[in-house]
Amino acid sequence: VAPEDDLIARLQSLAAEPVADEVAAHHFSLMDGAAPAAPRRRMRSMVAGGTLVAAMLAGTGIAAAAGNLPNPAQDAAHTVLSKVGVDVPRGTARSTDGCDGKTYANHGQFVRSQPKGAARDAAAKSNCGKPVASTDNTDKTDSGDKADDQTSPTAKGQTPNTDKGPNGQDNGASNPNKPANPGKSTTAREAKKAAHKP
Amino acid sequence: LLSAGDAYKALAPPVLAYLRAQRVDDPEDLLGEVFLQVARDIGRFSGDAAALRRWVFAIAHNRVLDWRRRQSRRPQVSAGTPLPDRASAGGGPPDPVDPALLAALDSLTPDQREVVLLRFVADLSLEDVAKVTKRNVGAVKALQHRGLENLGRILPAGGGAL
Repeated sequence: VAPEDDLIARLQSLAAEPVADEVAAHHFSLMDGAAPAAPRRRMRSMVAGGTLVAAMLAGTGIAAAAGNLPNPAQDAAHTVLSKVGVDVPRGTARSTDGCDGKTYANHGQFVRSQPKGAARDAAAKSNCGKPVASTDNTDKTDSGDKADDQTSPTAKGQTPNTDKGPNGQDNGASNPNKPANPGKSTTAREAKKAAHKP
Repeated sequence: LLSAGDAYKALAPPVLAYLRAQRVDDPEDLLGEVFLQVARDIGRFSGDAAALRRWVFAIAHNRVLDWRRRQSRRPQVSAGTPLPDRASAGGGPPDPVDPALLAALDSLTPDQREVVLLRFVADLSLEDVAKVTKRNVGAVKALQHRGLENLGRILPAGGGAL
């Protein structure tokens, strides 16, 4: 059995033989003609990356100028850009009434954070997370606007979307000739006819 | 700054010996392919001499794998026969250095031969061989041990290069 050191020395001696001169000359001519691919590829990827970053920055800037960023980002953009003389609006201020000391991005987030059931129903009625501007006139929107909405169809000569007709008769159940259709209201002409009947 | 020419002068002889011992059809031609890739990618390379050696032999290793893949797609004359020693077969020029050792290397498994050549012909460390062959160091050690053991059994004691 050949000793290991002898084997290793023989293996290493394989690497000692030089390459023939004519073969080496041929290889050198091949290498001289080889175009270095790396720098071009790197430049192309750098240009593509730079374009992407510029496009993202421009998009963020436009969104910030329009006030369309999420609140924290909009506030940050306002703070940073105001220092360089660019005026962008602040983020929408959100009410913290009934938030138990926490802050929420919007009302929906607050409602979803509550357990299902009564707590969630109560949360839905609170102002927490709503824009401050909308919570200032909550009373008007809750009572006055809805009342106007309900009365407006009758003002235009239409019946409201209820089961009762203009004279109080039931559209479906009290009139055997008409099928019960609680979802649809009678037309304006029918309502007028009914109003003129003694 | 390192050039492909410098790398060629330093590493072409061991790469050629590695390719010859792997019994590729035309080792000089494959050597040219290896250093053509080195010349193309040398701009992206950064590292010391050991890293350069590992990188060049990784390219050579991959070229051998490609060559083997191409060979496996070609129809074989008879499956299972060992690769003929060119010197004894009589076709082409005789192997210039130690044909007995090259014949003994043919009798190793491909994995053992790969590890033995990268360790002692390419002169890579165990860790570098593990990286090039995508094995762990323990597996490389085991293959090296079995490869040397098999070579020692095949080659006569005290038999030097012919």
